[in-house]
Amino acid sequence: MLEINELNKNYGDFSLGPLSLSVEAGCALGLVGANGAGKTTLFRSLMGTVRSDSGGCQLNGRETSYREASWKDQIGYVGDYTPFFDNWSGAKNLQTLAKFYSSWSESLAVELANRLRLNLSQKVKQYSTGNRTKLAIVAALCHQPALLVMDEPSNGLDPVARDTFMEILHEQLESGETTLLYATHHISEIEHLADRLVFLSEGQILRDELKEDLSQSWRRITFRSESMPTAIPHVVSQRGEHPYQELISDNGDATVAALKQQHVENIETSRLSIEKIAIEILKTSARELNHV
Amino acid sequence: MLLHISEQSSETLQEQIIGQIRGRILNGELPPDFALPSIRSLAKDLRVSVITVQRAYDQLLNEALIYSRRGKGFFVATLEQGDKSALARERFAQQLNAAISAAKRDGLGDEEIQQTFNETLLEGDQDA
Repeated sequence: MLEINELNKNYGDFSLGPLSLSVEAGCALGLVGANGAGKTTLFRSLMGTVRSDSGGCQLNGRETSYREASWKDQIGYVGDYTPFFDNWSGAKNLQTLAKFYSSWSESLAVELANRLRLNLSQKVKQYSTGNRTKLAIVAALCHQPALLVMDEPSNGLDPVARDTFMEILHEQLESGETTLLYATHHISEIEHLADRLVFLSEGQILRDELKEDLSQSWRRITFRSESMPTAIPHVVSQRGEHPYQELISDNGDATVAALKQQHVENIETSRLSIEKIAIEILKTSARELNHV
Repeated sequence: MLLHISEQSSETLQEQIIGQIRGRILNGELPPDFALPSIRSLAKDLRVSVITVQRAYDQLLNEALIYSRRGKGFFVATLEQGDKSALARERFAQQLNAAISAAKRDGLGDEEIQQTFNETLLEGDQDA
């Protein structure tokens, strides 16, 4: 169980939080937000590489501390920052990192590298972006951490490697003991993987929803009407081309019921992909969602 | 358990999982007391999220097609032949409803719909 309590960090005119979030073990949580929404600051605070101004995080009851080596044991990170030495081979980098982790498994590292088709005998400076990412994935997973922190982790991966990476993440989640935080702008990457989606905007949590609830409730609704009816609830966005109107609703049933009360004709509804829903949420981030 | 999950289906992943397990129970392919895979293992195999499988199993529990035993997992329920046909009919009615709405949208009346249904059923019998 990961618990973030009133976490607050200020950088000049940007401030993260105060932000609270509780994620149960075994959950795959997708973190979605525009650039500068605070994902990286949140992750750095989690990793203990940035000290928060107030509040903090606990993983399975243990406080984050950037001084404590055992805290890093618990976390596997893939993202912008990769602590590799360019002049060393992938293998030598891993051997060096291994010393900092009590639960490092060399056989798991080799197995992961093979599955990702990563040549460990090459020097890191000869690696492509994708191969650096693969090395970071191997390093993050082979010490079997309780928390996986992934910040745009598929950077540079070719389609096959990306597919293998997804397969590996699904396997990681099977035991129910690993918690996954996955931040990405490519929502289709986490459309299948995530149980829960948290939308961040300007350092605050905008929405926190279970994925299945989003796909159950959001609907695109079209109907015939001379003009757009007024006071229809849950409308997120709308457009019209006489005599047809189209609404996006975050509660399709309630919206349709209201339309029927106003004797609107030819109502048709369809589902939205998670990606489309996410885009609508981010677009309307500053707007009140309850009423048009 | 290998299910057929399609990206291109108009059904959600959850609906596809429910529909296929339900179908296999109703046609007897999954016999009574058959142990279903755990939620997490099916999620891994199908590469969908845990919550998707969890909601699918919840729905099958609601329909009394499966039962759960604490600590042991999920099993196929024992169904009477009558229950099976009632469920199958209910499902057929739902599918028919969608087709009827589409036909009405295209301007067909009740009589035309009924006539087309009867003709199609007859043609199907001849093909079979």
